[in-house]
Amino acid sequence: MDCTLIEPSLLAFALGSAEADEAARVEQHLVDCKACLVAFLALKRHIERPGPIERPSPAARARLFAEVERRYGRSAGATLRRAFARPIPLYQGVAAACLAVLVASLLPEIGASIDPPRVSSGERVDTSRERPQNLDLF
Amino acid sequence: MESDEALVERVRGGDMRAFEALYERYEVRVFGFVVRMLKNRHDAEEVFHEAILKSLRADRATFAAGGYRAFLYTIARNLVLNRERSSARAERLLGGLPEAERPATPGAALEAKELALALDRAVARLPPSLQEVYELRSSGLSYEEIAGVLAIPLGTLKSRMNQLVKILREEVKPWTAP
Repeated sequence: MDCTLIEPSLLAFALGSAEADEAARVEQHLVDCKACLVAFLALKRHIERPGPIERPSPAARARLFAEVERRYGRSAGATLRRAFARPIPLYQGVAAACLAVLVASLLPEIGASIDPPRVSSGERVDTSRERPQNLDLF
Repeated sequence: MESDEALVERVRGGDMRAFEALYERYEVRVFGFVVRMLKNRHDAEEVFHEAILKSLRADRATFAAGGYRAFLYTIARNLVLNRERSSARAERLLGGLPEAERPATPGAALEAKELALALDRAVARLPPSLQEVYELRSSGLSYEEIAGVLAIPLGTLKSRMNQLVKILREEVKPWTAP
């Protein structure tokens, strides 16, 4: 097939936008025509990797990694930050408040159960240590 | 090979090695797309940074339809458009800045390098709606993915692709004609 008939379709073929029959014609032609194949490969190479390879600078890369680590990393600091940043569901907040009220109401009873016993004069007796039997040493 | 979606889940679970793998998959392609659209490295780094972080915040349902790759390109493209609008406003205020011209190679022989240069110039001169189609296509996205990123029907995309091919073909004719 004449190259002049194939040339208009080369770019579309390289971009993958050629119609099926057009693509088939180009493909068949490229098998036999070195000049068109070279032109096609140059187009394809440029389309798939246009220009020099671009990457962010090492500093920009480091900043992004640090930010991702801060937000999602498994360090204790990151985990704590996420825990505090997360909003508490309503039911959990209510349950925590009820528990706090319950503990506060039980506290006086708990305190009473550990207070030392009172004698009739109202004075507290310290039972934590044994009293000496004889205080007269002389 | 682990899917992008699986890697994102692992990143959100705190796995930085998963992030490194995900980053390496998209660093060159997505950053390349952004820097070619914005033509400014500093802006491109900021946009790329923001696009990656935003893409990690989404859940599986958000990128279930087109996949993580198309979702990431969609975010990047939207951020590029926002940045372009801001800099267009700034340029109007500053009275416009001269565009840096790529120097032509005088008397150059017909080589693949000249074809690439011609294609570069032609792509840079395309209207933005066609340039982004070209850049997304050369980033390896399928037509369905590109249509998803641009939020246009496939038929509209094919029409833009035909326009794009017609324009570029004329520009590179000296290097492709037999």
